[in-house]
Amino acid sequence: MLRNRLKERRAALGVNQQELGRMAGVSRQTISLIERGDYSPSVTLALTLAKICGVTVEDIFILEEENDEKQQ
Amino acid sequence: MKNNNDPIRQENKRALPKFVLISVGGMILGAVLGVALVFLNVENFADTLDSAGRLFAVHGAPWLLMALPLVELALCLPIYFSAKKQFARWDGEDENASNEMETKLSVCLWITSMATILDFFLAAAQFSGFIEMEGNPMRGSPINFFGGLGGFLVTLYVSAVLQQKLVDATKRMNPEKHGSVYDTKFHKKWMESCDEAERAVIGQCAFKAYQAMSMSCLILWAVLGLGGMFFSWGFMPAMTVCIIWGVGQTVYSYWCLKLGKPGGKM
Repeated sequence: MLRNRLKERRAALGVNQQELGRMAGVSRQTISLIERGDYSPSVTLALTLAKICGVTVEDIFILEEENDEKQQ
Repeated sequence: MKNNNDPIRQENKRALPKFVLISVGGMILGAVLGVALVFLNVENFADTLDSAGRLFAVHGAPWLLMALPLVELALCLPIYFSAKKQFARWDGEDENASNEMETKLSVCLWITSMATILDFFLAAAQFSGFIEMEGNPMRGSPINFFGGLGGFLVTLYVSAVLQQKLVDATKRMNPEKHGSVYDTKFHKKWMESCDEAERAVIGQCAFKAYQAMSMSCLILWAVLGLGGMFFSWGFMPAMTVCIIWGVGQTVYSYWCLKLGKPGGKM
């Protein structure tokens, strides 16, 4: 399962969803879907978002194994 | 050499009993219904239904056609203006508000689409009543007929204008979207302006629609094809359903093949 910290990174940037979407070349809805965890972005989009936020992809997106979830 | 541990064969084995049960159950139900229709003297019912249909075509459809644009406006305008007011107050951040606005616009778009389809149906119903023989008391007045025809054209106009307003409102909320409703290539341009997540949603919606269409065609064939034994509508309705079914299946298969090839991209 993919978790993300996109909302925190966006808040740190001081932009709203529409502005971040414009910077990344996607719609506001897509940013919203990603932040809610309802959509996993493509590699291209994940790299683009990481570049905009000035961090690595792993700083935004965390892949959790099922075993990790069960232990939690 | 057959391998009994083959997972594909095992999956088929697990699903087969339910499939056989549904098929046999369907055959038994069809047989019972068929026998019941014979014993219930359904030919009389077919005549009654035929008369009711002609009555609706000559007297009901024209009035419904004249009322349809008013009903469409009465349903859509309050929702559209509510979404428009909400957008004027929107700060660009509130997610709940944006979801609400999008829901309202989507509901309005659905209403206009259904109004257009209903418009076409009622017009066809009215046209089917046009060829009544002269002197027949079922024949409607020319005023009714042309009133209905006018209602048909007005509904088309109202639907087009409403859809333009709704699409424009969507574009104001989402400035990256392109395409005018009046453009013959609107769907292509709109799709091109959609990003990966929106295309994924469209794809899932389209697949659900395809599944519903396939099931509907099967049910309609059963009703229209078998009903041809009792009603005088011939095989044209069943043939129409099969054509639509075939087109859907062919287009789906064609794009599956095309997108599966190297470089295949929508």
